Amino acid sequence: MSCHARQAVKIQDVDLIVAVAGQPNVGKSTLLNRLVGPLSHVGNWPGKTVDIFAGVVEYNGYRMLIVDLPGTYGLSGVTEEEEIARKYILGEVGEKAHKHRRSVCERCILSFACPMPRFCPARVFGGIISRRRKEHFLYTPDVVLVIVDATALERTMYLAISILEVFPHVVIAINKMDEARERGIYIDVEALSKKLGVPVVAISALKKEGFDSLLNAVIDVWRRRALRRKPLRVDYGILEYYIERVEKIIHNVDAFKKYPTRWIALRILERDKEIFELLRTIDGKIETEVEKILDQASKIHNGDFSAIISSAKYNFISELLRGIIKVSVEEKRRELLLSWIDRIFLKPLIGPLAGFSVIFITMLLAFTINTGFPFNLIFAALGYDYMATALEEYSIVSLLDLLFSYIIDIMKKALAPLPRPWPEFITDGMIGGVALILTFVPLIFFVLFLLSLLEDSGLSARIAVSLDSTFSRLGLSGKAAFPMFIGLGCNVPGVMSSRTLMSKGEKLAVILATPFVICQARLIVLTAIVSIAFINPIQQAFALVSILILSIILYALIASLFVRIFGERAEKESELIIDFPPLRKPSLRVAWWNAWILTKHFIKKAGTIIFVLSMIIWFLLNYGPLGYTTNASLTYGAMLGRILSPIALIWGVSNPETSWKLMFAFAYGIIAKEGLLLAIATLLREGSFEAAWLSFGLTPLQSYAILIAMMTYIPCLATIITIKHETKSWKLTIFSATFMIFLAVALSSLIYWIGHFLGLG
Amino acid sequence: MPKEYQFSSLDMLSTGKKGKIIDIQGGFGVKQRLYEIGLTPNSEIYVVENRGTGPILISCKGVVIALGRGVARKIIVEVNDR
Repeated sequence: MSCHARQAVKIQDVDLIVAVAGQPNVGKSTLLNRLVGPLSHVGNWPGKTVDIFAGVVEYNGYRMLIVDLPGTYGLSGVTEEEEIARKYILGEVGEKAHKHRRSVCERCILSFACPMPRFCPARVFGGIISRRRKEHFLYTPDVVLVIVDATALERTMYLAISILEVFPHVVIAINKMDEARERGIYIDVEALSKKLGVPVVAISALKKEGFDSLLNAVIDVWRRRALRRKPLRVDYGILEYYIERVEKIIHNVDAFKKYPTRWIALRILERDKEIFELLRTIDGKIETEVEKILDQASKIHNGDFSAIISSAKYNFISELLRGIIKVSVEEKRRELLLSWIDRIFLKPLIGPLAGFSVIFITMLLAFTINTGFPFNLIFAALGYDYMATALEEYSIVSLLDLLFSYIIDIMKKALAPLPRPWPEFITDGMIGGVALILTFVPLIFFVLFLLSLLEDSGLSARIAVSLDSTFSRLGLSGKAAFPMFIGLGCNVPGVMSSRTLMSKGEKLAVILATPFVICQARLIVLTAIVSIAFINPIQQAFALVSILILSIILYALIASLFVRIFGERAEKESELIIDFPPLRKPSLRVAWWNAWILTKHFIKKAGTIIFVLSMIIWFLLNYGPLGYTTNASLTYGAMLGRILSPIALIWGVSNPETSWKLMFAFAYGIIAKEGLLLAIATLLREGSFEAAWLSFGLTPLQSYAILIAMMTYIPCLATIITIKHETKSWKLTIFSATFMIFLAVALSSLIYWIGHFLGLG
Repeated sequence: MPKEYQFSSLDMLSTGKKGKIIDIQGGFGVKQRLYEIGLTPNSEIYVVENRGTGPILISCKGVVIALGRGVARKIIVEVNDR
């Protein structure tokens, strides 16, 4: 067996497509990591925010494309993930793509996810394959590999049964078999396989056991050597009569022909929204007939057929597992006990404290490695200046800085013979842009790595539980603490960490709220300006602390506001329903791998946009109507500052010379806050930032209002791009940016004018 | 044992109590999620931890699940006192 995931995947070379499904916590990630190696990101599911990952495995001369389906509990389609899994297994994704474009380009493997199908370079420049067979085979899985957990077989089999009801070509892998054996759980794999009619293979993803039999079983099913040809039939007891009647009505409907009729009938009984809509568009008569049956049936169990259907499936499973699974008495007892760590997280007061501490320590770790912050400040405050500087100097960011200033120096010398704007453009514009992206990379990687460890170890579930009471008052789950705390270091990984949140509405709400948390870069700007603008130390302390508290309040308010707007009906009763898996040692390899895939994806997608935009901004700040200039006041940026200068009136700043410079500073601050202080000082030719700021001649109240605006408006370009990256929507991204600016203007002017009328000016 | 004590919402069950789920109230989405993770009518549950505030931990079908109190309140169980 060899892994070829790193090569570009060419669809012609792939023999079969294997979709991998599994409930959360069954070890799907570990299996994929061990089996395939690093997967590559190949786009996102059509119209969804969920990414698709895929990779290639070669075994016995067969090349398999492994498509990772999102972790789901069932196939009912209530969550976005379930809808995706269901559509892919049913071949609907493929069908859509088939209508979408008649041929498939070879460059993007799963090209239905292509963002610009019409302009795809591979299509335009000819890399097209048109063999029908290949197309079909691309979009619908040949085999679905369902992973179940030996230590929680009854529960995790639910997904396997749900899939078997619609798709017969299934292989079931029972993972964590070694752990189960140690714990006294015995499973008769062969008997289970016989009963279900599909191959069942015992594996241990962690120890790489059983992989050969697993891949052989997949190939057997693909070559139709394995037994099952028809979907599984679960007995729904009391509902059977109605299922049969609905089946009779719909069995002639063309639109439903490609699905198992029984399955459609079940969905209709469950009042599946999508199927009903489809029904409505086809024939009103059928719909009324179906309604009639549903009406008659509604007396059973108050019409809550989902309860009957799920119960029947679980009954089917316990019937299926009777005599196949044996659990020792000790294991049965052990299951019901909590470890001392669990007890800590569940204690009132101590629990939330522990939850906050774990997240806080995670953040400290990531940021200390990256920039030395905040330990450099702590060491400096304690008088260990030597430690503080050492920590700063050997942090990743300063090493990168060193590297880039070295490269820029060399390049400047080498490029000196070129005409004037070129050396500056290449060094400050282009290399500066690359540096801007690269400074985020280690941070993103470390944060994602640590988050993945927390998730994998089961600590993440404990944190969510411990913080639930605190955050549920805001309509959020305990996991919303992650983006907030990580955002204190840097908003980019803060926004990215929203992906650990469970519901889509909450995720969007938290993404919109995270940029209001003051990050490290803004904290530097804040402390610098505070120390210049206010002379009285009490005023300084008040300004600093009040603005920091304001940022946390804004996060909480905005997140809880938007969770109410975006939350779907089901999520509005936003409530904790999560698995509480046993604690275990996380796999460093899997965490490393997860973090790396996502970081790579970020560099590719967000990196390009950040690079292009930072070049445009470089142009605006270095070019004016007269061409290239080093005099900031002659640039387009300055012109923009002058156009925007009336905005400064909201803080009572009427001096035109001050107001354009202020607006220029705001415009500059959109790129990043790190270089803001230095840039203002040099661009405005005042020597030091202190001199530049004092030349504005602002009152303390004005400074305070302006600081609030500066801390609330767009944190940086990279954050905005990350918002796009996570929401997959430009509309939401633009809304988010506009909202930040609006809030900055509204809040700061409100504070200024209230202060003004109270005579604080 | 008087009969009215036999039924209760899940959040009222103290640590160590066993019971059987009778009914779940609430919206379609919440119900569907609960059913899928195994909390179907007639399933046996065991309260692993209930401190009176904060989420409650129950064990069902060999898996420990954490539920917010709001959800737990909507789950009606028949208490098994043996």
